[in-house]
Amino acid sequence: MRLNTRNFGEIEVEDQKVIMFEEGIPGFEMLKKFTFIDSEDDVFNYLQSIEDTDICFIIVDPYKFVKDYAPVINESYFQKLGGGESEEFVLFSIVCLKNCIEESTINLAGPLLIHSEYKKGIQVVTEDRKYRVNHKLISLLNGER
Amino acid sequence: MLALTRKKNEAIVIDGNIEIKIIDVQGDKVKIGIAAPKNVTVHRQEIYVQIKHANQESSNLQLQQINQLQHFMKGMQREE
Repeated sequence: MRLNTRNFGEIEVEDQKVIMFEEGIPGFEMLKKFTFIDSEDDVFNYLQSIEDTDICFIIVDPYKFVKDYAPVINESYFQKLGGGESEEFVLFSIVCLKNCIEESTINLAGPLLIHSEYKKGIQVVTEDRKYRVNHKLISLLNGER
Repeated sequence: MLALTRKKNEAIVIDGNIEIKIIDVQGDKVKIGIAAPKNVTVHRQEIYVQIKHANQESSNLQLQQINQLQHFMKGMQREE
């Protein structure tokens, strides 16, 4: 299908590239279908809504920022995506871009859990209080928390 | 909302398979134990609300910001 997105113009999305978020994500419960868009760098990628072409999130591999990232994720989230082996699941974190990069934050308390084979996703509310929704990107890049 | 009074070690059962037990009460803090099936998610409400707000703030991306980010990353990669 072709999408006319606000930020990326017209893009082609193949059916097998659609990720289903059956519950939506908090704040966007009505949006169920998303797709990944790669960027030119190897850190930031985009999660584009298919149903609302104005909505798009910047996502990153949290392990690129916190090497020992280990959130406590309730078993129910894995079950909701169909279960399976742990290597079939991937985590992403949403980045919140502020006016300048230095102020921008990464949400480590609510990672996106994706079942890479079933193409299903859910946003996790982590159980521990080790991580916040607003860690500064720059501090993490500098090795602080 | 249904309001029930429970003492320490007493529990309530929801839908026959979710048990919520009062483990301890100290001042204004209540420790609650929850036993639920594997497909039931349980979380602290305030964390959920924070995530919801963070999502709303993160979704309003402007093309200019994306360009700025890509420019920043190119600078970082050149430094390496």
